Amino acid sequence: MEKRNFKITSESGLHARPATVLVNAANKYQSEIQLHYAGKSVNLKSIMGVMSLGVAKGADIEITAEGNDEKEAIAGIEEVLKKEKLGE
Amino acid sequence: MGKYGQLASEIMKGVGGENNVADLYHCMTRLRFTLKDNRLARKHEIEQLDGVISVIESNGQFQVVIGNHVGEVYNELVNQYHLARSRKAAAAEKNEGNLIARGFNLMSSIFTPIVPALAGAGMLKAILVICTTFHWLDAKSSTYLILAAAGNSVFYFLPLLLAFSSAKTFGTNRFVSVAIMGALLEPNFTGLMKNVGDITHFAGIPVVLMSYSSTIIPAILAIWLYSYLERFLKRFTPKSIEMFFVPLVSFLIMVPATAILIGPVGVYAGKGIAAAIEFLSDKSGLITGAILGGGWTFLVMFGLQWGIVPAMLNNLSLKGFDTIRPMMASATFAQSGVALGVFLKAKDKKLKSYALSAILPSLFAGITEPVVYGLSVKYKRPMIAAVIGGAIGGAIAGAFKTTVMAYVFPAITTIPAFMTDTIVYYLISIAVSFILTALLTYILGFDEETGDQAAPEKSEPAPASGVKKTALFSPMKGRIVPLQNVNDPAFSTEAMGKGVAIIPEEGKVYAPVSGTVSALFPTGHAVGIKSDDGLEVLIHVGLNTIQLEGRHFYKKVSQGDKVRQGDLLIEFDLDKVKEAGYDVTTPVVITNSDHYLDIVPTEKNGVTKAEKILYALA
Repeated sequence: MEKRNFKITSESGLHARPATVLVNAANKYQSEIQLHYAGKSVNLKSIMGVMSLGVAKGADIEITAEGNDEKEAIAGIEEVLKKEKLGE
Repeated sequence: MGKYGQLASEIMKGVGGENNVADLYHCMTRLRFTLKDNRLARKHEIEQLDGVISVIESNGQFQVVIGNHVGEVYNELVNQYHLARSRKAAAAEKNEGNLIARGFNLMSSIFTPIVPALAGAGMLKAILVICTTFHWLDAKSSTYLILAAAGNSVFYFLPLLLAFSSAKTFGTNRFVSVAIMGALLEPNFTGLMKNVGDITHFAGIPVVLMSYSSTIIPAILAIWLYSYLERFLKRFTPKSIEMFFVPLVSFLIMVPATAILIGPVGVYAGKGIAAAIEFLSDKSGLITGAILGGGWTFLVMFGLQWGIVPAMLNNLSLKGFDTIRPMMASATFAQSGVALGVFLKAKDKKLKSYALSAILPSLFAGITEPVVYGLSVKYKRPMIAAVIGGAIGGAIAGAFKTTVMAYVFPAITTIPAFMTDTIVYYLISIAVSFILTALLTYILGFDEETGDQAAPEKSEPAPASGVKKTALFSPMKGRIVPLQNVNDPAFSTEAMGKGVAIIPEEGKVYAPVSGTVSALFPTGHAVGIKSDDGLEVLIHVGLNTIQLEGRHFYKKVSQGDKVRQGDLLIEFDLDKVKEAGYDVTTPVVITNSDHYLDIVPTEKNGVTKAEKILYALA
């Protein structure tokens, strides 16, 4: 299992557009990808799941991936997060 | 030219002919036309076609929503007309469920349009039974006979109604279909038979005769075969003579073929079952009773019950009593139990009142068709309850060798005929089957959503065969705009999912489906609902309204709450949000659009919370 921590820098937190960007990034990989925040875990491939956490700006999140492309998945998601200025 | 061929040519006519088509391809559910002149297309005519779910004009495309069979229609279009196959998109054929479930679904779709007639006629028959029981009406009077004809018609001519309805389901000519089955009820044909099982000849081929009135499976089977024959004939018949030639050959083949093929199956299967029942009832009344009580409904469906009727009459004339009828009586009372169970459990008012209306004919006149085809076959699980309840009731009647003294249908009104020394066991057996089935129906439950199609007279597009439609109601009062026009790429590009947007006229957000509040952003400007059958809907009030940080938004529910369609979720101050400089356009998107074949908006402009704004097709 691969995991990495991020700090959300997006103004609106992980809301509609940022959540979509993240989910679309996650959906490129076969691995099971989870988002962990405030003691809760959701499937990063579901927009509704991500939005249900209500992740706000400045929050610390952890993303885990498990599967045959877990390394690529985490790397890919990190790239998207940074490129879209959603987190660091 | 088969059903898709015909549909294809009608669609082509509707879009203004092949010369008006600049490009055509298809996706999972839609034919996507690019037309040279959209004004030549007659949208409403196309929407009226059988097999077309709706028509959408967007992005300069003229989209005809077909559903699962879009591939077949597309192929027909390409074969019939000089169109280039511009792009390919494979439409996957889905076969949902096992054979039995598909059989039940098919039967239910054929019966749905007939059910109101069945229910009304059943009620009339029940009223007549009550009138004659209490001697308000003389069963020999002409008044009674005319009313009896009114009540019997639907049942006697059921094969005709089924032929008409099946023709629609199988996509073949409805009038020819009715005429084919009509021939088997026509006096020249029925006059050939003195007794069921008589053998006559058609051009040297033996024809085993049976009575087709009130039967169910023969009509469905015959029209299913005819739909293939018609397709086959149309392929080889020159257009100039097609109009009369195809029906001519269809009559010539289908009428004798139905009599030749179905007659012996019905007759010998019926005889075989009768022999088996007689053999079994000597060995064990308990087992025979269980089989008859649980299985009678299915025998009636196939028209096989008549094989047992002579055995009952024979028993009555030789011994003065009969033991078969009391065993199958439980099957009838079990269906009454289904109606009671559904009545008690149903939330939908229409379904409740229908179930109530079906109890009367079944209890008082032994007419179970409105229950069997309007409830049991349709919702499937109540049928399981009826089989169990009927089998147990039947087993009781069989085990105690319960008897009846006359040929009557089992109902409350005919209990006097069962007044022998075994009356107690009879009463116990029917009470057990009735109450047990009602309880089981209540416990097993049923999916009320299936009943959404229960009112065929609604002007909504009929679902194409095999497509499950889930409706989404409007979450607010306002005006609909296409999602593509929303000034936020996250929505307009459909990245979040497919849907529509609403320009609100009132600061209230209602639940568009029944389900769970799966996401409620702390600021209260967006809410996600996961419906009970898995549809995920996101309602995002206004654009960039997250920047208001919750000002002017008032949450009325919490994340995780169960809500029903129409419940208030959020209130917001529409004018204040506008004053603050925000676009109030509210996208309503299905965030798990990928799980559905397609998301199809309805063609409404102004909506309230009681109106449907889109359908998810699965």
